[in-house]
Amino acid sequence: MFKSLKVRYIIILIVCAGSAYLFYPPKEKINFGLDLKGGMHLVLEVKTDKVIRAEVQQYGERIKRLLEENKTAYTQVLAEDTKITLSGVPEAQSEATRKNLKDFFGHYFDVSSKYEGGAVSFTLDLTAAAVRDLEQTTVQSSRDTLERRIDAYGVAEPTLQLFGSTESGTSNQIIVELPGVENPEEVKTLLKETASLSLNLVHPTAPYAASLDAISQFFGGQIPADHAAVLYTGDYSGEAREQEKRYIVVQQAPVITGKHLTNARASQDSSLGLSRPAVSFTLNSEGARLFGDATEANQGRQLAIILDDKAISAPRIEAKITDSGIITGIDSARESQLLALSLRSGALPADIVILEERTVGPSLGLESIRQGVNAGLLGLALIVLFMVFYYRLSGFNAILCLIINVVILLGVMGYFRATLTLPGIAGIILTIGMAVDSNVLIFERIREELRWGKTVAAAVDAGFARASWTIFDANVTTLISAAFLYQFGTGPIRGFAVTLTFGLLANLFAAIFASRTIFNTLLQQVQIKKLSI
Amino acid sequence: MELFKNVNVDWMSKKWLFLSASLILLVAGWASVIQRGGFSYSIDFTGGTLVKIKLAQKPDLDGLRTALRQSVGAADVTRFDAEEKNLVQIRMKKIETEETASFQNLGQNIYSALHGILDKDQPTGKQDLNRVGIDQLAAVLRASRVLENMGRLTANATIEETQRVYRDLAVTIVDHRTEQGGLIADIDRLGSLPGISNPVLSVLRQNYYPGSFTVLSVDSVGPKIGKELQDKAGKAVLFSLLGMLVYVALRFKFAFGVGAVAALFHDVIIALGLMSLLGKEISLIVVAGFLTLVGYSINDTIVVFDRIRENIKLNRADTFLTIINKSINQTISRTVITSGLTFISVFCLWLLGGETLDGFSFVLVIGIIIGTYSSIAVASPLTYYWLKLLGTKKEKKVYKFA
Repeated sequence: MFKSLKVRYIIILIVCAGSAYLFYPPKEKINFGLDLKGGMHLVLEVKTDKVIRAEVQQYGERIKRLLEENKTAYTQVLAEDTKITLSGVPEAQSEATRKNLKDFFGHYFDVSSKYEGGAVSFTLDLTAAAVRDLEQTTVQSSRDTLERRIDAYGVAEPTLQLFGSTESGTSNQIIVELPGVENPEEVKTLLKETASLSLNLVHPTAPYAASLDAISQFFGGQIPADHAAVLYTGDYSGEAREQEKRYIVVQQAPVITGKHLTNARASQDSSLGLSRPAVSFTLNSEGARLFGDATEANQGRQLAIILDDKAISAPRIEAKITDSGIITGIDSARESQLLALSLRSGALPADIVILEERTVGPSLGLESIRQGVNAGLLGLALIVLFMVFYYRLSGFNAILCLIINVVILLGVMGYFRATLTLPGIAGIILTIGMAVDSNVLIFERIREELRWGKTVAAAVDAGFARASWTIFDANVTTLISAAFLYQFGTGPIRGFAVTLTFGLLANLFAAIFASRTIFNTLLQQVQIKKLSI
Repeated sequence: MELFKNVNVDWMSKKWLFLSASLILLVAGWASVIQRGGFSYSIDFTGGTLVKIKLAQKPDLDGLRTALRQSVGAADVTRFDAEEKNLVQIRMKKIETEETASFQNLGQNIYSALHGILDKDQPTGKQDLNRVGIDQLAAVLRASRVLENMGRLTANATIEETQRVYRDLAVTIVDHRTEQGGLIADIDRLGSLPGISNPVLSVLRQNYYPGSFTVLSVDSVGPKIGKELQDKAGKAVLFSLLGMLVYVALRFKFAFGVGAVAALFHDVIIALGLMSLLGKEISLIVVAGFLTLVGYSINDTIVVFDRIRENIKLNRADTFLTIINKSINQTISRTVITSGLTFISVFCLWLLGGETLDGFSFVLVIGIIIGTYSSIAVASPLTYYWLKLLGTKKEKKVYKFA
């Protein structure tokens, strides 16, 4: 194959020129990994179980409504985890109830029933498909929200990738890679902030209290069902200032929530004579109507601003407000910017937990590049010296192949926009070491054939023919382990697997095709009788 | 030049020597594993936190240790890399669950703790110049209007231009900091940078102090990820060994596959033992080193096996034992040279490649030596005895035992 030297030259030229073109200019074509340019790698977990429980709770409420509409008697509806049990339905009503439950909830739940003390109880189990569906939607929308936040924060070339799996087989982890982040802690806060906002009316007479007990005492043992106590982290203005008081009581049903917001931006609140950081927001038409009605009817009452289950402030309603408002109780201007950003990108549907964090500063990355380059250059120098010393002129053949090998490797990496990581640099250095292996196998075989008295041409022929399969085998085995490496690793290690693989493939071309061409040139053009090997 | 000429060694008769050499290496390493009560795994697998910091001055390790133990419960504070670099790593104990505030905010907590120890005397109104990012620095400089006051920016400069000029200034400073390994020791010395004039320096001095440490990296792994990685690492090594067995068995005979994989297994367990003996940690990158070793170390074995196959066809009269010896002798030169060259490159990597790659290159440095030895001392003898004891009649006819 490719007997003609000209054809061989052209092929080599095209491959090398093409590679150089693909790689040039290196600054644009080579994508440095986080470990080299600095940045943050996070593995986040979306806590889907809580979302599913909340969803099942809501279905429990719907079942109650359905039963009440149909005037069905029952003793209780209990929603636990992924299961709802409905007990005490009289036998006479059980058939109709079963049909109703199946019709209305059958697509999400498996409905079963059993007799119990003269009445029928039903069990509704959330189906595996429904669990998966809920998990997927939650994770996907979390991912979208995170993506919007990261974009708004302004990270260049972030990547978000779903990963890991729950029992039902859904990916519930998100790998976030943020190159060049300068303030990792700020970004973490931004990503984890659920940013679920609601504005709830504060109970008109309940005190700010240090403990939940004190609050239940005020209500005579039990907080009314439509109210709840929330942690208060805001300032204590006016009458509430005296002591350290931590909880306030608010109405369960919010006036408006984050869903009603159309925009939010950092601003300042100058109402108390001081200029303090705040976030102003505008509302959509539904929100404006709700907010307008509530503020008109409740002038003089306090409205709690609840962010992620904590009341951050509770200003008094001074006048009717319709389509816009302001959130106070924020510590710093920076915090108000971040909160505005989170509110604009929407609330996260679930809590986010950081499972893994790896942050590398740019100075460490720069140091790594320097060290990698030094190690590579020293290795290269030693190998070049050895090859020329040991194989004389044929050593130059090997060095030429080595150069071709590295050029192709870089070209392929440029073409695929592969990420170069620190282990990836190690992969290139290893490739330099292994690239000459193939030449050694061929040269040693040629030497052997010459020793057996073959002519130079026959020895070169036999050398390549015999050694090619060995080289092929050796490369395949290394490729097998590179495949497992890729499978096993994340980020940096994948970078290593990638450079190793491309390096080996380039090696096949360089050692078998290009090296052969050089020998053929010597034999056919120069017509050497003795080989310097 | 030739290092090996007409080598004629009866390798197969040295089986007892080989066996005892392998056993000694194995026992030495694994005795240390047992003595240490198992391998020392890095936080990649156990979960935990590793923070690397660089200090401006020689670290007072005891002082740091005591203070960090009280504030964040650090388990271990040690110096690493060259002494003059003033590098310190802080390890935190592993935790039971990720869902604690202390794990979620670890980076901030450690910074605050270090700040409290090392920079506690710095004025509270100023920020740490060794921590500030480009955007914030640019904003502070811009707010000072220093360039406008100096007349470097005219009053009618556009907002975009103003932003760009101040950003460039911030980039110059931060890039210089990166060049300096993340630490600016003295604000005054920034004066030698282009565009940093005295008024700029005084704005910097008003707003910043040069912090005496910088966080180089934070690695924090929760127990869940650690456990997942443990599973994956074990599986990856096992499956790649299996992959080799299948490939060699397909290209040669099953018995050769067994010999080759036994040699690989030998390399992996001896290298593991030696890692423990020399007090090296098993981390993600070390496992990557082992996987690479598995793929590379088999090459020498394949070279020998290839030659055995060739010689069997050429010399039908020879016994299997003679053929193995002959094949090893014929290939010893290339085996030693190829391994030697790869050894050179990983040795350079180990020598100069830096702290992060240390474990990886070390596995390859010792692995390549053991791998080369085992392709002669383990793979062929094992294949020989496998065929001798378990070979079929047909195989025994092809490979002459006697």
